[in-house]
Amino acid sequence: MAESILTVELDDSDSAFEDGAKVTGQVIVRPTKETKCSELSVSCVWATHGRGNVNTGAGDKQVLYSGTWQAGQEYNYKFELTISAWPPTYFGNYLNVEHAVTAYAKIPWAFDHTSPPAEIIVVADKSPDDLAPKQNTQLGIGNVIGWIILVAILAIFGMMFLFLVPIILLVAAIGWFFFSFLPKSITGKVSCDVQPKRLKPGQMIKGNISLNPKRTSRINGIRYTVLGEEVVASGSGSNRKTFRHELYKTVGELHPSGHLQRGQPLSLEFEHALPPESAPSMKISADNEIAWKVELRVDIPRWPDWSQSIPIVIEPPGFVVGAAGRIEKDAWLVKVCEQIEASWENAEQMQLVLSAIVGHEFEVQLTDLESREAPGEDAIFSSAPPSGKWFETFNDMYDLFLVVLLPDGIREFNTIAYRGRIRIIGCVLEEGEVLAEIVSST
Amino acid sequence: MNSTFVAIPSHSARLGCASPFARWNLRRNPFGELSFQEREVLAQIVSDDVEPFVTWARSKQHSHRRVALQFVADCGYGKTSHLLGVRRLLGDIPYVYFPEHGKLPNIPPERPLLVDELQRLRWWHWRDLVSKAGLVVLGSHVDYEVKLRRYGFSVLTVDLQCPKSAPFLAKVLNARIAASEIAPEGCPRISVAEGEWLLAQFGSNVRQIENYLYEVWQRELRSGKAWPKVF
Repeated sequence: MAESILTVELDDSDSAFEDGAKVTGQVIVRPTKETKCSELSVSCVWATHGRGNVNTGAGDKQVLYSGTWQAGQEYNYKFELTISAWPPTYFGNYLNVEHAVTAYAKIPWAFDHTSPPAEIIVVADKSPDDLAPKQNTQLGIGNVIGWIILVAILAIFGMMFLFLVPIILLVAAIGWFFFSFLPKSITGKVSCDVQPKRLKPGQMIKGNISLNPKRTSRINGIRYTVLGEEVVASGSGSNRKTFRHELYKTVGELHPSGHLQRGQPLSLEFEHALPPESAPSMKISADNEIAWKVELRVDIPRWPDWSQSIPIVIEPPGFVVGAAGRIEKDAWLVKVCEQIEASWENAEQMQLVLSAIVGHEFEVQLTDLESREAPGEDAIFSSAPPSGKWFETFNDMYDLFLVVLLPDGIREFNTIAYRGRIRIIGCVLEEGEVLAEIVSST
Repeated sequence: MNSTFVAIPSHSARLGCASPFARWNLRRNPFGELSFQEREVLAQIVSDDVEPFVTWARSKQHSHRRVALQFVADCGYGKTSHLLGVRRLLGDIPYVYFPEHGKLPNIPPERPLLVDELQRLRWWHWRDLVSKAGLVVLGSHVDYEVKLRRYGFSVLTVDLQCPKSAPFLAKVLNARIAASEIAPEGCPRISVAEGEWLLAQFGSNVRQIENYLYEVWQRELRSGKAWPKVF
């Protein structure tokens, strides 16, 4: 396929953008022949990719030009677009969301031109109530008409389907008997709840369950499970296949194996801190979703378990720290990087460099941090690192491969884009890795 | 036409792509789901007979004839991809998909015409399909060659479940890799030997092969390998 005559150049391609931020740049047009263009536009677009059916959406659009381009000339058009941050950039296992700026030229009576996407990272700090992108949230007039037609058909022809009613009732009754009546014949009336239902990564979720056993029975335990997963679907109809990838799962025991005593009410509470890097809940479409829930279960041996799932929503963490805007290159960190680069072969010199910068903090923006193991025994530290989780990333600005420690106690952390302060605490000479620690939020 | 995010062909020179796959010079896992436009760009046609047949059917002296090209196979063998591959040969011609559930579309009068999931047509759709001269390109789980001939069609049937060759499979998979590259031709390709191994494991079901490779690419990305090994 011929190379596109359109190119998008961003003024700042390293930054991550928040909702309402402006992305600026220029569209460059290099026509190879005289070309009449009925509309040259530039837009913010997003698309999912992974195992689920592809969803796409468009945000702000700016029309830049209409007219004729001459062969061999170069034309530049400045643009400024406003970022819409939902859904935010996300890189998962089965689901990914990418944002880009693309230019589009409508050419009458010929193939239209699209520029290659200029990718950007978009960070959200809050999610819409329904977790859906704007274009999916409106109940279209077509849907309204569809419901009216369905209700009308049921009203007119409903009598013809009356024979189905006993079958549906029978299936429902069997389900109720096995999954509600039988478990409750042991647990009695159960009430449970979790709060808050909408929370940020790192926040504490609190829950409770109360039962009033109707008879003395043995149980294997009472447990809660906090589960976050990517749920995507590909294909349609009978060819549709759903894939699930567990992002986070933790099971906590509320009551050990033992007996429930008849007439002795039991009330149990729990608290659970979500991991700081929890992926945000999203419902991009029926095909692409990140869903979180808390499940409570009374495990009864040789009997149907009592269980209830309570959906929760994890809000995106945003940048977490620091002011909006681009972070300028820190001249001192550049020097430090040069010193580190010159000391890879010399452990003593490296120790000197590290001791010279103990306690100093640098403001950086890190993107796409991936979870990894703690550095091995060959790591050199300027002081013993605190306990926490380790991530790795490559920083374009300083051309630096960083292994980053997120100390326990920092509650929110955005692995797609972190903007804040780090402290260099060591290195692994063999691997050429610089070890840094995230400094708590400002 | 609305602007959509079609990253194919990906000839961006910007290597600072945010995706974790950028470490392999890829924008994304090459074996994930594709949009309709991407599938059309990447479609590869297995049979060498198709292009001459389409050219023959569209020649002036045969424009008055009823001609059908049908791709027959179960799910996952590439019926829709082949229809889209033919669409790429013929230009922007109508494509009609018959869903399993919901409202069925009408057969438009234009020819050439692409019809996907032919086995779901009702009798009135068949009436509209056979009433006009011209080329129809069909994707179906069921072989309708006899029925089409009865209606006076000249028919070419391509059975997509026939064993595919390893070079063809490698071509299909490498087109996926090429379309996901950040810098062109910067990634290793699936070899014919790897294609042979995949065919031995999964038969000719390209979807199963792509699903398998998706998982391999994800797993190897997490483990930090230099480039995934197929086996």
